[in-house]
Amino acid sequence: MTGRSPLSGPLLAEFELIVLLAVLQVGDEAYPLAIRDAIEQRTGRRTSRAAIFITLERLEEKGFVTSRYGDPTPVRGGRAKRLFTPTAAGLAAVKRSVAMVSSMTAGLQALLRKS
Amino acid sequence: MKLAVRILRLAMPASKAEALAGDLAEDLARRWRPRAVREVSLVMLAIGYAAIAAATRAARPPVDALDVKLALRMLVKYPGLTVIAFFSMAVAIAFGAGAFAIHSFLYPRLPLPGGDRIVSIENVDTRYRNDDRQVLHDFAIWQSELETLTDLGAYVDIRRNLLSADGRVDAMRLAQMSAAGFRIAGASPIKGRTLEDRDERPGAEPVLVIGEAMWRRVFGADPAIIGRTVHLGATVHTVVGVMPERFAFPVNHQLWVPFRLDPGRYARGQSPDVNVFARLSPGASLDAAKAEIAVLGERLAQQFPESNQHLRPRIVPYTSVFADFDDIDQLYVMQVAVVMLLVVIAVNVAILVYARTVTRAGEIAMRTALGASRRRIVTQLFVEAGALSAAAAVLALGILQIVFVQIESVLNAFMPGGEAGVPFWMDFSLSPRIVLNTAGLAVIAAAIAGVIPALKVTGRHVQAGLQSLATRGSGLRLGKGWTALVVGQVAITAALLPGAAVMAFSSLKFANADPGFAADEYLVADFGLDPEPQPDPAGSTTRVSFDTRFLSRQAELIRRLESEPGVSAVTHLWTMPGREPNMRITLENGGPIPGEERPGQLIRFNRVDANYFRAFDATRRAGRGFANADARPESTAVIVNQHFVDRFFGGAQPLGRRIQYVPNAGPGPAQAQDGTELPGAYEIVGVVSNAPARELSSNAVNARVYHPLTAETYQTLAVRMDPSRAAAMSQRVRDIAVAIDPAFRVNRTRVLQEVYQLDQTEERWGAMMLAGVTLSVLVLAGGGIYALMSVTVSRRRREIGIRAALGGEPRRILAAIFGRALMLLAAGALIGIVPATLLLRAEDMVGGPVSTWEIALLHVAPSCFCCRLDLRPRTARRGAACASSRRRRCARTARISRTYPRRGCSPSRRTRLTGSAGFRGGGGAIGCLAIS
Repeated sequence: MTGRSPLSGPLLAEFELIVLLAVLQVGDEAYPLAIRDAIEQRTGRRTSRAAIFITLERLEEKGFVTSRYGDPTPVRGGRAKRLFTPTAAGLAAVKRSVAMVSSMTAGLQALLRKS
Repeated sequence: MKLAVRILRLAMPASKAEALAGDLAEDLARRWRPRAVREVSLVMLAIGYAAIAAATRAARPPVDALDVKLALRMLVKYPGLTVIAFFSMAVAIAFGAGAFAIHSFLYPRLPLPGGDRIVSIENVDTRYRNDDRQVLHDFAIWQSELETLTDLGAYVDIRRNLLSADGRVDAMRLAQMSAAGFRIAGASPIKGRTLEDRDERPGAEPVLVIGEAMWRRVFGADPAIIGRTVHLGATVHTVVGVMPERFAFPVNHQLWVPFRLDPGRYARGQSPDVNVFARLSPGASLDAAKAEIAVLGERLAQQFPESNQHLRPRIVPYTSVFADFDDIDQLYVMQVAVVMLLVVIAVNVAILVYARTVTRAGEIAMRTALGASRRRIVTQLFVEAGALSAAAAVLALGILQIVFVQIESVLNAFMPGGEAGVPFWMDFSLSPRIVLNTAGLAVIAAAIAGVIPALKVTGRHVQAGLQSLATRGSGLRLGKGWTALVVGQVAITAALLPGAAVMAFSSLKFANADPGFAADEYLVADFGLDPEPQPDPAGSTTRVSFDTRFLSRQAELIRRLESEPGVSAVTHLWTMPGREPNMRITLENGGPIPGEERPGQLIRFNRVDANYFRAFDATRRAGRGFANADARPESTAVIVNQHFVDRFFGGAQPLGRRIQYVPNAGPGPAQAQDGTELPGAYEIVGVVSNAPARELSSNAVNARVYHPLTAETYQTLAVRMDPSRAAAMSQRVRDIAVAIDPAFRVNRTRVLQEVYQLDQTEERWGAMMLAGVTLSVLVLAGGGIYALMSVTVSRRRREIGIRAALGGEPRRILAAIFGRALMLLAAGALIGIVPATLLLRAEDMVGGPVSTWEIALLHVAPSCFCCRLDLRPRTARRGAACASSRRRRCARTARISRTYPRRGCSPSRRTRLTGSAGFRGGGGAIGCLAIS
């Protein structure tokens, strides 16, 4: 009899994982621009606003993040920020995805270091 | 910035749009200093993001599980509306899908290779606009001259006695068909060969091709069937082929013999009925073929004016000639009418849904204020209606399945011989096309019932809904359009309901009628004689010869049957008692009948022999019976029943009085359904008691006129016998007929009781369908009025509460609230009475199965029912509820109550009265008013 795999459950696509990790990195003030900045700083990868916007929408639809509205600021024309927070399901999905990568790279460290 | 936000709001809720615009503004501020550049870029980016959001949304399913869950919850919350709308929609969708299904039954694509290029050809008599199939001579010319058609062939439906090796006799239906029929159908035999052109030549050996089912059933799947000889009537045929089971061309045949009718042996226009078929030549269009045959038809009309002057050939799709529609446009009109019924019902449901939605205006306004888009709310209301219509569609499919099974069984029962059932192209299963049509109708119904109210409520009325949140009253109202719809619907109900109810009641009344005599004692059979020898061109000599042969065999059959044990009477008649068709007569020198819009009086027509009255226990009341001398076409003697005497002579002596038949539409004298002409005056020579004693159908006419049966109209044999011997007698009649002459055949035998039961099954189904529609219309009328009243009360509930609290008389408040609505409904009912009366008169219903006062009652009944439907639940159910759980909502009105105490009213009662004012939908107010 086989038990339920610890990796079972919905997994995140590559960019979804990056965005969700960025949300975790930014913390309480995770709004789209801050998330984009975090990704660019840590990965050096330029990311479009639209990609961030669409991905966050998708993650919210899947129930991996929730959003709330912060205080308005003058530089934003008096508009509030939309702040994102990972949900428990989102955290679990991040764990699964990271564990999946770890599991698949186990024993390959030497090979990966060489290349 | 504002423009950017507006653009973004087109594709997303306001809060998201604001936040995103802020993100964009912040990002642009980091990169660009000039304000103008930032503003322009912001707008451009907003357009791009709005497009992305719209595209992302479009890629998602428009409806999610939550919508469905909420929809189901709303359906459960309003069970009355759900039940009314569900059944009404189901009936309407079933009718709509059924109308489309009829089209696919009657005009399907022929399930043969290149079936859409197979056509029928027939002559149309331009005087009567009916088809003329005595086209044997024209067929020969069409065959040789038409170039746009190929494989032009013909068939004749014939019957022959099939004598099996075990001595069993079956009257079988055969197609005497051209070999071209096998080529057109593109079927190969599973044994032997098909018919070939050489088989049609004079002097060729008589051959027979049989179907696989027949091969198995009658010949026990004999592997050596090819070459075996079979007796068909007096002729021996050799079996040359067995066709696969699915092959039934031209209609539903299982036996085929070569087409051997020789035009030279018949006078032009006097041949048997011939059905002609062909395939469009490669490259030829239907229009080209029609044009070619039209030219040929004109030429034949000039060449043979005596026979073809009024005949014009026409080419139609193959199955069209079997459909009982002169013009396919009639069918389209019927379909449009049925779809209109669906639209009317859906609009009615929409009124109900709108009335309910009005009570939810506050909720909708609140959701809109919290950021729900209009699309989101409309989608949810559409899903609510969609859930309802989807469930209704499932029920409609169930209804259709049951109806289709019944139609197929009835058609099979009517197919003489019943060898192969309905035509091979008719598929009575729920095909994907029918299911698709049903789904389409369900979507239309949901769109009308759900989207229209939703758009109405979420439009400019949202503001009114917001106001209602503050005032606790409904800011919405039924506009003029909705009110007109309700009134119009009441008018339609008043117009149609009496007629439909009369028909349904009378059908139901006769669906279980007892004939009043022992119908199980009668075995009825129709029989025929093979036409041998071939007629000569003059026709008359051979006809006399044929009649002589037939009459001698008939007399011999009667003589032998009368001597059979258990047989008490044998008689010939044209049609069975209770199934006689209506005709119109006038009394000679009788003068016009006051108030009669159409000339003549309805009677039922039959032809019977001298034994008929004795066999059916009709006793002679006056005059004489029929004698052998009366059995000739020129006889003018008729016998009438007691109903006839009572109706037209007030019970006085009618002997010697003469009647005349009113001619049918078109030139010439009156023509009976048995094909004979009734040109002159007919003298009443006898009166008999009524037989059957009770009527068996909803046909309201019970006055009967009997003509003497002649050799030209023999149709049915009735044998009165011991009921326990029915099965044995059925076989015995066949055996005796074949023993007299192998060409003398009994086509079908049935106990009369079975015939009546079949008729009653039809009546029952018709009544049930009518009753379904009638009930649906009635319930919807009630629902529409309920909606009107509900919205009226909903809008004025605060006023009602205040007036009640101030001591207003309930009766006066009710009058004030409902006065205008009742006036409108009365107007609708009055509008409907005129067409209802005209309809009833046109259909001869007045004075028939129901009396005039019953019809008057039916006029009044819908309005009474609807008003009662509106008031009863409000008075009875909600009155008790208004005192308890919802009292807090009415605190404001209750304060008014305390301020203005009602004289003689206890505090608890006051609380109950005023508490009802805040009751959702306003129904409680009426309830409290009523119980107080």
